[in-house]
Amino acid sequence: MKTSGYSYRKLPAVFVMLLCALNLSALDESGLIAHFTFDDDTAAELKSTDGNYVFKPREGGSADFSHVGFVEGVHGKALHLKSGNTVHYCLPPGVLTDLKPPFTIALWIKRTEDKTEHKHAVFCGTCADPKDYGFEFSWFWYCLTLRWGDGGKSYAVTTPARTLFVDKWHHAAAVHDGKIVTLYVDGMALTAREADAEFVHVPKDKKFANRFTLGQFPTSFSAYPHVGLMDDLFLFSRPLSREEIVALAEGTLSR
Amino acid sequence: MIPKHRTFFTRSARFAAALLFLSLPALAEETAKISVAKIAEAPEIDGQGTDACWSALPWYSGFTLINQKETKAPQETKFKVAHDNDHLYFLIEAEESEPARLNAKVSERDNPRVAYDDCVEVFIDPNRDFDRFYHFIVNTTGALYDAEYLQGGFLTSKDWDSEGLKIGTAVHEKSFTVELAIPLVELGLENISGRMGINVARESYAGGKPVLSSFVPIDGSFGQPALFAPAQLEKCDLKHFAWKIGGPVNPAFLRREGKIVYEGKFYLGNSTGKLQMSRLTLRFKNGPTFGEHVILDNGLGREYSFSLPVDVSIPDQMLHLELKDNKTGQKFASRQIPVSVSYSPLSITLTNPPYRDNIYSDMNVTEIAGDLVIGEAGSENFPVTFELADSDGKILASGTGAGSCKFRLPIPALEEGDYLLTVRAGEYTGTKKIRKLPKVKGEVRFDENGYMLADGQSVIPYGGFSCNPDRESALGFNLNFSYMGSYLHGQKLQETFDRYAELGLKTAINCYPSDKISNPEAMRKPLTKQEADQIRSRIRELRSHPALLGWYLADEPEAVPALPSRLKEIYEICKEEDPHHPAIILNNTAAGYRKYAEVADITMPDAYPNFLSGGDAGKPIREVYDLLKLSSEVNARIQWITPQAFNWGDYSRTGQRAPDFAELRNMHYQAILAGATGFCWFEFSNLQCEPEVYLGLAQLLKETKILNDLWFNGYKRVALDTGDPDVLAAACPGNDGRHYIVTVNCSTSPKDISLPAEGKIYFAAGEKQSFTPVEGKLTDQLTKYQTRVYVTDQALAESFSLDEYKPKVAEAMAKLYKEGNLAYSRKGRVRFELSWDKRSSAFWHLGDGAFNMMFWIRNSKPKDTTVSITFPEKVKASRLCLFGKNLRRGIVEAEVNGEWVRLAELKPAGEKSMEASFPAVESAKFRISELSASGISEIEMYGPSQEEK
Repeated sequence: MKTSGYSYRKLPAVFVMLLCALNLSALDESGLIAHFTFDDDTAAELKSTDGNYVFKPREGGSADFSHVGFVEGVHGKALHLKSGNTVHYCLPPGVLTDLKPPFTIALWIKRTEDKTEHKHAVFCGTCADPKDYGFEFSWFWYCLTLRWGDGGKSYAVTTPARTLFVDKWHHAAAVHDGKIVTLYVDGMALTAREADAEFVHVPKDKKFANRFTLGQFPTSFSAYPHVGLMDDLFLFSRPLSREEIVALAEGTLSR
Repeated sequence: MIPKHRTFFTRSARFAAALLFLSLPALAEETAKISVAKIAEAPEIDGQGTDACWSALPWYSGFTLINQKETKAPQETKFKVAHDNDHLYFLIEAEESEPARLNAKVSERDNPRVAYDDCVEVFIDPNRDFDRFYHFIVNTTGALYDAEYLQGGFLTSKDWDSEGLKIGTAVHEKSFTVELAIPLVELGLENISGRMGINVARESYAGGKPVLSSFVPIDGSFGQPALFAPAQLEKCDLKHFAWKIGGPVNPAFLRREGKIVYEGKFYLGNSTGKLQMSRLTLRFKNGPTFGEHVILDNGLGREYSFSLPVDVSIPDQMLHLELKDNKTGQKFASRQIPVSVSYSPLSITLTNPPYRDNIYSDMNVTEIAGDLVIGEAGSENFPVTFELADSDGKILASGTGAGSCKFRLPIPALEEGDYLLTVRAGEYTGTKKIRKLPKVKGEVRFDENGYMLADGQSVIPYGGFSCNPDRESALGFNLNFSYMGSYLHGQKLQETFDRYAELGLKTAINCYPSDKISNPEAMRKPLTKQEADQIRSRIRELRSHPALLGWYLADEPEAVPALPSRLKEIYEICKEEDPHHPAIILNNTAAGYRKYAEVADITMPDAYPNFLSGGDAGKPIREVYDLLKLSSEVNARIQWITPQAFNWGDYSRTGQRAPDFAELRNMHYQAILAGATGFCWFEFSNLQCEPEVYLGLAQLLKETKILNDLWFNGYKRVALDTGDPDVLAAACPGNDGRHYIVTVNCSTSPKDISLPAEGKIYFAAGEKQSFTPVEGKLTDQLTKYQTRVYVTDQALAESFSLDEYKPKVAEAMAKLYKEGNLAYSRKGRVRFELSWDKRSSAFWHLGDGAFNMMFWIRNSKPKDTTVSITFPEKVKASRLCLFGKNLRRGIVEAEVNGEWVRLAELKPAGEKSMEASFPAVESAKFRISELSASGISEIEMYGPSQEEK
């Protein structure tokens, strides 16, 4: 079942109603920014459920969709970015590039390639390289990391060693409440620490960096691509509780 | 422990382990296989068995009598079995000619007396690992006993309940039926191939006498998992049960926000083949539930912390673990874990003085040191103060600390007397009594590494249960454990102890002057003041005797089960009344190691690998190492060991033998590598006919004394990774710069080893063989069960031979055999049968030449009392000698042409023997009939002499 706006897909109607009664109002007030299910997308467009946000290939970049597909995911379809993919999915210039705490980012990821690159961008918002501008939420040496910078110094919160495994589905979430950054993997809070710098991202190179990008480093060249699957990407403008993170993972609050 | 002859019910608890893995394939091949069909629709569990799903399934039948495997049960029992991926369904139909006489007295769950009702029993080894299995007994009214057995039957938990199990029963005109639906999830499936072991048995009493029959032809006990029929669940899909569950890890009891909680971690691993989103719940019975989300893709595992309020007034509780699909509620896993509840807000453990919190007369203690654990969450910064005061309250030393910590408190020289260490942390105050003791002759204590000191001198404690002091002393042993404590009093007791002292032996004895204090019924109750006074009296009577080793508190108390608080109280009495001798306990289960962790100074796990006649160890011989390691992990007591030095055939198990020297040495060094600092082998009372055992142990003690730095430097030992779980190895520095490597092959296969070696050349102790490491690696190949001690000191290695015991064994064996004795059971295959005892497998001792094992004749009329002697072929005999106690009468007969022919009447031939001579007769079967005696111990038979011929 899929409707415009919030929907509880794959659940019996009665259960959906119950969930709605219990939780929907809370979520309504919580400031959902966007939810990407990848269930009905095409390689040319990855739309949020409300249609307000659409990832498209970077203008002037590759439109070779031969390495992009949609396969069975955790909840419905998942976006499959295969090895060799050159498409850079971006939101339009300026869209969501001003993301500031509090916020929550959550998605299911499954990396299918185990190469030696030191970093695989799962999800990047603007640019964090080379001068530590912007932020990124990524797979970093089998850990999950949220990294941001203000142009002078970079900051990162990272889960303990080897918390992510290749060829396995993991639910990854970053919650920034303005003071504390908490990283969740598979519903477990693995790292929680004070954000020791203001979450500022000041894109330096607007041509390349000022874009909210999915699955690639936000540059015009292919770098640190995520090779694998993504499903149920959520963006919220508030910190979600652990129970809510688990509910997102389990699909009981999917949209 | 004493192996006991069990009733039909409790047999299953111990006998299971008697099965040999080696002989298993042959046994399994003889057993019918069970095909467990998949059914689409579950039957209604009403005991009728009329559901359509049953009609197409085959009956399994052909039950035979227990201990008479060739004999069909007089009334047939048959069963059908099916599954639907979630349940195992049984339909059992028992033919019954007298249904009106069916016994069904038990109605409540888990009453073991249900086995004395007419009942059926189902045994399931869900993973066919012969280790963990489940037992269900159901009577004709549906009363249920269900239990979990671990370690092949060693550990029983009747507190385990199969939640959701359904029972239906019905009594018909000429039969009764039982229908069962057993949830598979409760069985802890780890092997999801659907391969299981199943046995179904029946106990029938309606006919007036017990008739026990089994689907699997079986001797001794129904509950022998290695004999269960191999069963295969057809077309099964059990992947949803494929979870690995480990824990609890680092469990602890803490006060958190005013409540006592049980905290720790469980490991969950998902092997179900797909991403699972589930919920873990934990709860104690009648307690709140702890819940945790578990999101794990296939192949992933993770530790999950838990915190659960616990009622500390209930000492033994069952923790129920469940894992369910979050959406569908389907149960993926269910476990029931016994937990011993013990909470202390302040736990003070002294490391100096290291033993019993006593400062012995020869110790120079300048500081009190120890570990403080505060059982309160968030107590890391609690200010802590330490004070040591004398008996007048005068503060002699004080110090401070913070939170749970290791502490050291410098103290002045102390006079003899009692002192009190007081620890204050936050709102909590704890104390420790510290005693400075006078010098006492005969004192037995232990140093900080657990080594025994007798009168201040280091000793290697080595001996066994039930030793004859004179023989033991001659063999060089120095300790003995006796069960006679409750039966020795006054002058007899004094004389016994005096004899031990004369021989330089020390003996452990229980501190109970009457078995009314130590019998099972008493052990289950709190200690009364009268009992305490009697124990004090016994301790005061013996505590100054130089032959006293210590106080033996209990033998496998978990089997009783004894009340831990009772034993703790007795232990405290021992410490108070006799600070100069240790208290000792023997446990045989992991649960026991934990349950009685605070009882006694020394624990002796008993490890019996069950050596099989014509085969190897029936269980992994590595059990010695594993049990000792487990014990040392769960309690802080001094670890001794009670390995097997007996033939379990002497205790009603068939197909058993005593260990040989290689096996004894293997067990000996396993124990040393696991940290044992004392040996008390079980047991010596029947070893006269087993010279390889007692002389082999004497050889091992001699070797241990020669390599004494290997023993006393044990705390410096470092385990070496052999890359093979069946091969144990460790390196240990010796004195004077020598270096040891010890290897133990616990496998029946040869094993190559390659181990890091510090020395340039090593010599195999007692073997005259050298080994030169190459590139720092010592390589060798170990044969089956071989143990090798490599040492860099050639003179030491060659100062003895491992074969020294062999000529002594040959000499001892020769003495057991009297020339011409046809009934010598080691030479031929002579078989003895006793009309009054059908169960024992030790009758061969009647011809073992040792005369020591008495077969008592009880409740038997002389007219019906017969001993049969059967030879594999005809022998010519003309004389029979019978040895025993209070021998009065007996007629010697031979079977000639199918008829029993009277040969002669036995005549007295000495105080403990009778004899009969008769004209030489050729037969394969002889017997002594109309036997009148208290007991018999040996039979000899001889043919005609040369002259008579």
